[in-house]
Amino acid sequence: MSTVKNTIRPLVLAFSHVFRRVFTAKYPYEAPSRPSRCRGRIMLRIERCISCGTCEKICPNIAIKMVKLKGSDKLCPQIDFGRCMFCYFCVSYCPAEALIGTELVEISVYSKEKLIYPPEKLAEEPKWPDLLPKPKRVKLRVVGRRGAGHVEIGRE
Amino acid sequence: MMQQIWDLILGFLTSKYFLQLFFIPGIAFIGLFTLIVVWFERKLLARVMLRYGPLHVGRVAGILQTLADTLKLLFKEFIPPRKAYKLGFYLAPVFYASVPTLALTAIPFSPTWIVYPSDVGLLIAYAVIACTPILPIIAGWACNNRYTMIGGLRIIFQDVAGEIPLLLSALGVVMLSGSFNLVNIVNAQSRYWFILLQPLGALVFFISLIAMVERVPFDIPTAEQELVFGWRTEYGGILFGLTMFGEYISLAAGSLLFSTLYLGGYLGPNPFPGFIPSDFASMAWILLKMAVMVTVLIVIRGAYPRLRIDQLLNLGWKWLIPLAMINTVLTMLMIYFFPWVGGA
Amino acid sequence: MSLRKIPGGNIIVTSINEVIQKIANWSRLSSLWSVHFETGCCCVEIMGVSCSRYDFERFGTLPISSPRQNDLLIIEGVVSKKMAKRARYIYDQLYDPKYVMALGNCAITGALFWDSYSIVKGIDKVLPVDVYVPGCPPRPEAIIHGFRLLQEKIRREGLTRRKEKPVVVKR
Ligand code: SF4
Ligand code: SF4
Repeated sequence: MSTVKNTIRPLVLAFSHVFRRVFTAKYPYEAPSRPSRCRGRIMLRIERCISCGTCEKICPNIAIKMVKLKGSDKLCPQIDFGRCMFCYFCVSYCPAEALIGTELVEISVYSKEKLIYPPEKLAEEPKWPDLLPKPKRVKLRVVGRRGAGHVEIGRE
Repeated sequence: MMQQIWDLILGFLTSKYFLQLFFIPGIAFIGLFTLIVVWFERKLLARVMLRYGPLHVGRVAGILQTLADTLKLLFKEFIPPRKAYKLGFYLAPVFYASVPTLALTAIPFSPTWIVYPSDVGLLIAYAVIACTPILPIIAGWACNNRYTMIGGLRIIFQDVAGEIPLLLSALGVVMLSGSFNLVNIVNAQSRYWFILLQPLGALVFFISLIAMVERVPFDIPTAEQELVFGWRTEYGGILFGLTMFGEYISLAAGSLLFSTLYLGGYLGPNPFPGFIPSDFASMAWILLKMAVMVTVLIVIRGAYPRLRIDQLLNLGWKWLIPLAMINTVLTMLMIYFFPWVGGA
Repeated sequence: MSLRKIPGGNIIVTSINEVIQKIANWSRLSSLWSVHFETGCCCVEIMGVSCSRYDFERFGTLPISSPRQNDLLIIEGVVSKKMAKRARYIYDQLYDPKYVMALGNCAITGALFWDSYSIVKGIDKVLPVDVYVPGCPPRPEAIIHGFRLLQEKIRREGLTRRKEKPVVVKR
């Protein structure tokens, strides 16, 4: 008898799932909020950097190299994001808080060289890639009896 | 003169042969069925997993997904492996895609709409179903690859375990209607569908049908986790597309056969008798029943894990065949004591 | 595909070759079936992106296990020198047109194994890579962005894929 029950149950469950809410966030169109400790690409505030070189020394992957800024003698970190493992040692050890983390993770490229960010590029504000549409911000919510799903923030 | 030629062309275009070849159950039906069902299967399986499935191709619900897949397979290359038996490698998928379509010729879509009307329609359908497994075996052997060979061998096991209960369970239907002719079988169900008189036989038939069309609880020959892709491992490009096409045509033939034998086939009320020709109503009814069957088969795919080959053999030999025999005996008793149940 | 508009007229001239090319590219980019070369923790993120929350199948991908039917090889994670030969072998088994995505920094440069004796410092020494997705491991969003970049690359491609120079694996 239990065999029959165990055979019928998954079928009923599968059928009932068809009428449940879809859980998916349509990512390039809807962006679910990222966790607060999400580690994306690192941003440099050039005016704060004191060129101490701590970040270069602390980086476990030798991803940071101190290079001269264009048109001046100031040394600033250059990060190779193909090598960085997003441990954020550099961010936490920087004495002047010149390096800060951001939430931007969409930094894929066609060629490896583009992943080496010189200080000027590192100083840019994280920019949403042109390729992707501007997403709606969504949040995970349980609505009614049809289960959890992503709902646009502000329209809950 | 022109008028005669025009009449001839028009007569040919509206003749039964032309319509059967190009519409139901011909090219248009087969092509549209595959395009729609592959998309529908991916969407429904995704819904079982609370996903969307194909969504962005073709803007509306990923409706062009199957078309894109087919075109991509057409634009892709395929290479026979070294030391492969080239003829078998190329021809097996072609025949695997075309042979199951023959089973559609025996199915009545309305009392008169059968490509090959015959007194032994059921046997023709069975003969075609028995033919198809030979092709994967040839393909598996021709590819000169271990995985394809094992996949081909598993098909032999699976078919012996699946085909005998398939034949035996339909025996009850034949006894009740007193005919091998599928039209007579359908007409015998005008009072009750045979699924009500033969629940056990229908269950056995259904399970062995899934095994015969190699759908998921019994997709042992193409088990992705054990054999790389079973007997399809070496096929790429459009040859792979043809193997998948054949699988979906078998699915169509299997669901049509089940609806014909147990769900009353083309029988159904015609809502506007004067307005809609009765042929169309019959076709709509059998296609609707087929759609229900296909949906059930897809949800079963989403619900169950795959059986091992020994579990399938146990199921086939120790359960399905005895149950089919019990069903036959029960049907005999039923006909003996209540002769009025059958249509014969 | 270039649609040329005749000045002063509304006629758009386009050659049949370009139409076929556009159709081929569209079909290729919208059904990129993928085979995974799972050697590191990045494969967990691939599971994350294929599951309900991000649902990779929306773009038409389908994980099929045999390389013969696939178009996209995803190198997930760290590839040792012994494994690199196998990666190349899998790549050669894919039928043309084929694309490669290097997922995670181990596949791109070797990342935290930068001083290891046994790790290939970047899978591009072994295979021609189409798109690099950095991250350690990359979030599902990053993977989808990389995938969209790859689709964009295919959209601008010619009908026949350019011949890649085969890379010889040094033992
Ligand atoms: S996050 Fe870690 S690995 Fe990356 S640059 Fe900073 S210290 Fe180096
Ligand atoms: S970024 Fe911070 S740690 Fe690095 S050189 Fe500048 S001040 Fe020093």
